[in-house]
Amino acid sequence: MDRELISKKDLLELTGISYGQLYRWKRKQLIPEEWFVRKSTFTGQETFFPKDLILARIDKILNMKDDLSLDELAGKFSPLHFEAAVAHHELSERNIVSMVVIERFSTPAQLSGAESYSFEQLLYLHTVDRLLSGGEMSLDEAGVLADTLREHFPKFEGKPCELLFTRKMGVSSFALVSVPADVYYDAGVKLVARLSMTEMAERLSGKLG
Amino acid sequence: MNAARSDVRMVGTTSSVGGVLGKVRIIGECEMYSDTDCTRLNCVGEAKVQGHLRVEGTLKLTGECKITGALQAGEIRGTGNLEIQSGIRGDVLKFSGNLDTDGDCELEKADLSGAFRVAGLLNAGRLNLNMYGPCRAQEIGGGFIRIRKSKVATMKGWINSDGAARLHARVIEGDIVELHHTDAGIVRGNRVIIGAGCKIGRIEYRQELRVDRHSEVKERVQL
Repeated sequence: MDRELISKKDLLELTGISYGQLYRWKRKQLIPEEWFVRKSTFTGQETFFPKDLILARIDKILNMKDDLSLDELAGKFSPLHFEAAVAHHELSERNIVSMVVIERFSTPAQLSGAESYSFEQLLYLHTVDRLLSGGEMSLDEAGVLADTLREHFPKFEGKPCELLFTRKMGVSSFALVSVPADVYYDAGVKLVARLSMTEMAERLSGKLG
Repeated sequence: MNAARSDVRMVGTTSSVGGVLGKVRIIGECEMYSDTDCTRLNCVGEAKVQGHLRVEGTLKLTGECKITGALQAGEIRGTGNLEIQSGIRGDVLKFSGNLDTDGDCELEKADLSGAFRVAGLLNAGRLNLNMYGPCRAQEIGGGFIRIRKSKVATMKGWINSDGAARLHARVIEGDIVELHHTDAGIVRGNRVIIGAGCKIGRIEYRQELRVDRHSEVKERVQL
């Protein structure tokens, strides 16, 4: 879960942008709220960002802002409203999701190529794939996860959420929570994985685009 | 979509379920019982919304407006008291009076005379604040930030000193920051101008720093 953070001060120095720009992009929702991590330091409160994500994002904004207005850019970056339809053969060819997952969790129409995958469906597959390939989850559990996502993820209506995967005495369970949320468990529970769905969507759109 | 929006005019003590509306004009007292979305809202008197309020164009207020959800508007102008629980988002704000929110406040251009309390971040492209009373924000950020105290408030301060017109903020960050009568933990900016009556813990600046001799600054760091 620990990832490299960069302070706002260092970020501005590194990228050469100004406070005004950074705050404007935040207002235009080009930079998601969850990336602003507030921490106390010895000089007082400082804001930090996940380094890899924010640098990639700023790079993209700087490259695209000459061609597009900020509002148009905002549309490009709200990953959960991403419009995409990808056909079955593309998925395997471009190695977006592994074959095992595709075959197990697609509808017959999608497998035959008659129907394509929506972004949300792909997001479910991608998330399942990620946990499966990491060896954290069994194939049976994958089925439960896919059902959970299908049933509950749309209820967040594009708001940021996290996926919690826990196990206690060998029994696994999944939960979707809105962020920011603090969750505490009893001592017997092992948190197997905690994934930000926004980040998963981000990665997926990176792979697609 | 537009055809379904109907204009509403309410006079006296009224209530409405809210919903999708066209131009709304309130004279008197009005309570909306759910989320409201309208093209324009003009209120003289008191408006209460239980839920979110979205105004496509201008929200013009003379009086009081209380919203239990969030406010989103193209333009907010007027005088009076604005109490919004979960945050404000808009293009232009030109308001005199009191502004209160438990959330964030995000505006492209803000001209505010009066007092405010923003529990989260006050984020504005251009912020021009003329203080008449106590102002408080967790964080202020933006391009151009100018905080001044009104002359009237200065004179009032000679007579009684409570409810002093001062700004309290933990962090203030901007490209150009000009502060008067402000208590802040950290101020960061390219050009920082500190006027009279400030108490600042630490200033981090890039190009320029000017400090009035009637102000206290503990630490100054040029980056």
